[in-house]
Amino acid sequence: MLEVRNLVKRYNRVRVVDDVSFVIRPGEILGYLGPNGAGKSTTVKILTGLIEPTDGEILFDGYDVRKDFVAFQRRLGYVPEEAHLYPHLTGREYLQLIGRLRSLPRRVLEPRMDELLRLFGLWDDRHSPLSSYSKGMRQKILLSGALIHNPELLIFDEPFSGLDVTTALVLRTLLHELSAQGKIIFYSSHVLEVVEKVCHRVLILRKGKMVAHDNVEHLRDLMNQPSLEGIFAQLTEQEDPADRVRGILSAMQS
Amino acid sequence: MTRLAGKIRGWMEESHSPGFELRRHFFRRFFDSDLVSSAGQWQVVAIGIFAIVASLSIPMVQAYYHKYRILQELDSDVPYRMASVADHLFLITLSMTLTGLITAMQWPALFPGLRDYLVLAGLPVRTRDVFVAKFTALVTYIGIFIVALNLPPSATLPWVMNGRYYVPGMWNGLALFLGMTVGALFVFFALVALQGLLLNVVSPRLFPGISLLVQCTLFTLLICMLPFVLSIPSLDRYMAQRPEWAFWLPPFWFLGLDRHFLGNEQEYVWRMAKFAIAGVSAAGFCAIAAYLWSYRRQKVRMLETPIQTRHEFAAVRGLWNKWSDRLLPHQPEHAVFSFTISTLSRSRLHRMVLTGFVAVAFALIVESFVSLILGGGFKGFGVRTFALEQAAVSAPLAMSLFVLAGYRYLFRLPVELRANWVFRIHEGGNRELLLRGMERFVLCLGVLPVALLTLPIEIEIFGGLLGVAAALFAFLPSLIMEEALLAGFEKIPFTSGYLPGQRPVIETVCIYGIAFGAYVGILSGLIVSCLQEAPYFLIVLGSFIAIWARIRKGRLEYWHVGALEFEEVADPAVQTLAIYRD
Repeated sequence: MLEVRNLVKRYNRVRVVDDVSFVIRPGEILGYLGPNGAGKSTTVKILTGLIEPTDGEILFDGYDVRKDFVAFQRRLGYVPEEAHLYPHLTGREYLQLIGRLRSLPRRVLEPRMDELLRLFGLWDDRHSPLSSYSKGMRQKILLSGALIHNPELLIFDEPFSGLDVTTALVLRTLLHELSAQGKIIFYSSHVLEVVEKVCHRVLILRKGKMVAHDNVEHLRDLMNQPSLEGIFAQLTEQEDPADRVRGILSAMQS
Repeated sequence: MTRLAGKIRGWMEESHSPGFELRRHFFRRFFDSDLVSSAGQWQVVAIGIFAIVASLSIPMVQAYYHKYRILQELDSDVPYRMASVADHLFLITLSMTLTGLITAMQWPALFPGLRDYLVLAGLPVRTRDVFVAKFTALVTYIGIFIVALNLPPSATLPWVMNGRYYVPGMWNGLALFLGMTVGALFVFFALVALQGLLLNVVSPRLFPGISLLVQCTLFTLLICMLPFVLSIPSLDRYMAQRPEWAFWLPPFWFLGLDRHFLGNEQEYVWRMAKFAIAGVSAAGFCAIAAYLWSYRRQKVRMLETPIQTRHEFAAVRGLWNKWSDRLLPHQPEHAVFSFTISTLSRSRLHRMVLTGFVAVAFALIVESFVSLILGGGFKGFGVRTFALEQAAVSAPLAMSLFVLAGYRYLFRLPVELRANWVFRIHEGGNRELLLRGMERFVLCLGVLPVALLTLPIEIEIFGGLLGVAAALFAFLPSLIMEEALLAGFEKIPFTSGYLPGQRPVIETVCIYGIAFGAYVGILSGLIVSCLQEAPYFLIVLGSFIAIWARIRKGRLEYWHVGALEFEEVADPAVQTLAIYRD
């Protein structure tokens, strides 16, 4: 179980993540939502160890991960929001790098890596540099890298970005299967339709603060909204898109 | 004046025709380099280089002034005339070499590239406009460089030569300026034409590799030429000769042009001048023809050629796996080792920088042997003199110094800084293993190859056993140097943001000069002396091993407790919160 308690991240005087708490049990998928700048990516960076929290606790199976963050990192797989990859490495070399950094022995790493490359449809391009990969192919490589060591906790930041319809369907099914296997899944996204279909519970952030944390059905009833989109717009106080469009058109013609 | 400057600034800030904007864009890009930390940083580097050139110019002008004062006190004017010819040849060759170097450095930017086409796609500019703008921007850039390079010596030399043998005339400085400029343009056009030829003849799949090879070769050759160029003024006694082989060497053509402008009517000189005019015209024509040839064709070739897939040889992979398991028993070590090899073998910038370091070392080694020959200290490899032995021991020391310093510098130049998250989230618990991967790389592809490649020189000069001893003596300081350079280095290669160009160039040159003098000059003398006496041999050998063990212990302790250094690019989401403006 992943438990986050009163997480705070402050840059100078600004609270980017402000007192966020949640729990994800084995087999659960938590949808982590919020507009740009709400603190989603900062939370993800804290969970993966890229940055230190200012305050708060992260417990994994009841243990404070900060006491042995390495052990925690060994058990997580991560798909970042943006596909920042080394462009000169080939797809296979990238997975090899990830596997080696995770200390997977070659006899385990090589067949698993080749299998993932085949299953994600990257086999023919395995020796091409990542710079030549399309956005979807890069996303598939990132997904392969996150799954290669069979982690217990998966942190996905916009995992559907750039994926074609078929792969997106595969990934959606994979998410269900992974959760059925008892994996803990943290899923950060802007695509509300997918979150609605995939996640057991959602947490909505606004300016670093939690404004909702419940399952979708309950939120719908509570907010009296037919869809997650309506709930999101209401909670994050989104301005009327029509106003924004009128402004854009006016700027174009000025 | 302020109003005029304001008007110019205002005009520059205005939008102009697409052609002008393209030229402006291409011209500015010539100053961008990954070797400087940020846009505008080039000015700091340029000022640093100018400071070095200016500070070197003062003693040089003084030395020349005194030289010509002494020559003018002689009864005959022949030494004065010969020195003048040698100095003109030196300045012409120097101008050609430096122009060659700057053109080689700008090699990837000589023609419009794939990035230009992609960036300009969808904009209302024709391919022809792109080519014309690129060519004119390139010629403007190189023209400014050539004029800035040639004008000061052309103006100063007639002044320092002034005296009783000096023949006044308006051509004195102008002839030298024209000779240097036409020579420099010849080199520039020839290199542009060479790349144009490669671009059109070589298959697009092979072009990147071949182009890089040509660039590195040119760079190495030109740097190795510098010691020879600097020795030209001392060859004044040969300047009266008129050898036919000189027609094969372009600097002599432009010297002929210079002499012709100065009124020398000899047939030999006139033929040289004709070669110069024909040479620069042909090179210029070929460069323009290459541009015309490439226009349209290159764009199609670049955009429509699929990116080459790398071949993997199963046998090589099997062999490498077998050996690598012994050399790198832990997977994280292997990860950093392989990542470093992949990056160095595929990144043009990193390979170029490493080539630069190796070329400087090579030039210094060649120079030490050449000055030995010219100074009369070389009487064949069979005759072992102290100077020859010192030169032989200097070779591995110089090479290891520059290769190791080069690696340390290169490792700080990032490749896709934002991708370092891959290492950062896997750092915990693996820190020492990751750093050990880098250490193994430096050992296997730095220290050991240098020792093995220079071993034949040591054996040739010292004989079998003593040659191996000399190589061992040169190998141990390399190991110490490796330990010293890695001691404070807690980074995974290419993953942290170093700000190159921030240290003043003069400081860098001084550091390398002192390191070279101490490490190569003093150590080589010490090693050669020790090889003669067995007790000293053992004492120095023991000292080297003790120093190496001590530094290594300290480095391992440091690596054990320290944390890896990474640099993070500011998060855009965080930037939107304006925390940096707080």
